[in-house]
Amino acid sequence: MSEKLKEAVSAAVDDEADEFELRRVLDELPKNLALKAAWERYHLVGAVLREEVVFQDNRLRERIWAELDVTQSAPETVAAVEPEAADAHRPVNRLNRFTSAAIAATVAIAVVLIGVSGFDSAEQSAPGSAIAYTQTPATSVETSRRAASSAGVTDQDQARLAALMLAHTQQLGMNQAGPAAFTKLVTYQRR
Amino acid sequence: MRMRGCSCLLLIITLPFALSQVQAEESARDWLRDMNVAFSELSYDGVFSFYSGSDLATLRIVHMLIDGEQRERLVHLNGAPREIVRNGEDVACILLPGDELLELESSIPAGPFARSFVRRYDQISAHYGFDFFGEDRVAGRETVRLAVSPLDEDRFGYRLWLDKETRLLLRSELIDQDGQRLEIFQFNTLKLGDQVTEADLEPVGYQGEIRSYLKMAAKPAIPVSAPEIAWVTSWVPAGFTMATADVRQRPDNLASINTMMYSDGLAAFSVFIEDMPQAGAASMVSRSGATVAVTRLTLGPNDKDHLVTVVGELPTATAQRIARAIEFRARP
Repeated sequence: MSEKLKEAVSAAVDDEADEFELRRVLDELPKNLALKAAWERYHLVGAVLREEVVFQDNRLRERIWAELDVTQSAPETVAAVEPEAADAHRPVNRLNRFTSAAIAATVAIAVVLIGVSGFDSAEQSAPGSAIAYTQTPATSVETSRRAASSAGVTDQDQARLAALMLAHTQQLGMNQAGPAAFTKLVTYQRR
Repeated sequence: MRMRGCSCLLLIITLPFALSQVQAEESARDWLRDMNVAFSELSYDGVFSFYSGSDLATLRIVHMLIDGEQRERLVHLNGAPREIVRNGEDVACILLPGDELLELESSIPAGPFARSFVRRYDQISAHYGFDFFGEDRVAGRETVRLAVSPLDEDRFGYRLWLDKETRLLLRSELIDQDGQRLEIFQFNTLKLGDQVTEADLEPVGYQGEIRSYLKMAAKPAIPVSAPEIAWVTSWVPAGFTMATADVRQRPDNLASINTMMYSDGLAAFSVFIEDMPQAGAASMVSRSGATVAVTRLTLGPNDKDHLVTVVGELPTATAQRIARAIEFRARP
């Protein structure tokens, strides 16, 4: 994608494009996949920064699993869709997988935010580098408030979040009537 | 005169619809009340599926009311064995060593689990509408379908399948604003009444099992205006009220953590406020099925950074707005 075109997309997303730029982007969009991806990323990043995040859960999940599949040495096409079912007969591997999944899912928002640090991440972000990239986006959301740590989303952050999610689930279970009450607790997994 | 004639005619035409809508709402509330009673008073033993956005689990539940005390056994039928056994106010989690629940529980701020009106189907706020939408069959039984629709964007909706004969909930779906199903719960097989035996309430026992106990508060322990909670929420979605509030200690480092829980009778969210850890922390948003967690930093006493975490079954934007609305209330 040319620099000019990239600028035009950015301007169009920010509603600052002139008529010529806008026409060029609109003409180019249907036939240029990279441009289309950039267009969507810019919008998403804008929404995240304005804190009106409405992220596509399904697409995110697909991306998270896609990341995992490359980092795992035993890729399976089935695993990308139904990791748990496919791994059910390999408990040890499954555990590893879920540890990774926990990390991936917890930084789901950070995965979206890769776009902040590298707008052309579709081409350049190596799989598995999602977490490394989180440093920039995490601080870009609340730069001034980020205290002592500069490590992006850390294991401690994820562990804290997982513990609080479980605390909520327990509290909910204790206060809910019916068969669904403890279901979330007993099926709890750090995803 | 002519105008009046028109409006009378309009009234005659629309009134029956309006009335039938009101009747439908009332009738739906009756069904939900009956469902709540069925949950706690009926004897049932069934296998059900639970889908939570990414995983499908199969579980067995056995429930009986014996001498006025609810007894229940919930068994996870997939993966590593996990059971939850409830005898009245006592709840035991039966797990095997190495279960991540154990590790996680050891870092959860322990506290009394206050009894409160969370997910009580007979206490649902006025921020939902109710409709019947036909009949269906679930687990081989005839059901009536009920839609519980949020009247704003700050909560999810539900579709419920209630057993015609007993009014027990046989299937439910949690629906987001786009109509996507975030959670599905559904009985596959079900035994009722005399077919359920007390022996099936006893856990089978696993070699090397570990039991961790939770205690339900016998009565509502709700210091709602707890003076030690120096934090206020300047905004919560309409219809949500505080159900519990207390200060707990983290078992790992004994740091205190303020917790509050809010509910609109159906949906619930928890708020956790703690000191900023020495290592710092990140602002995060994470969603797992219907549950979203939002962590953000805010200024607390002495202008020190604090961590606010909102966890609940809510739309992401709503959880973020709540997190932003949590403020330290300086003592007078």
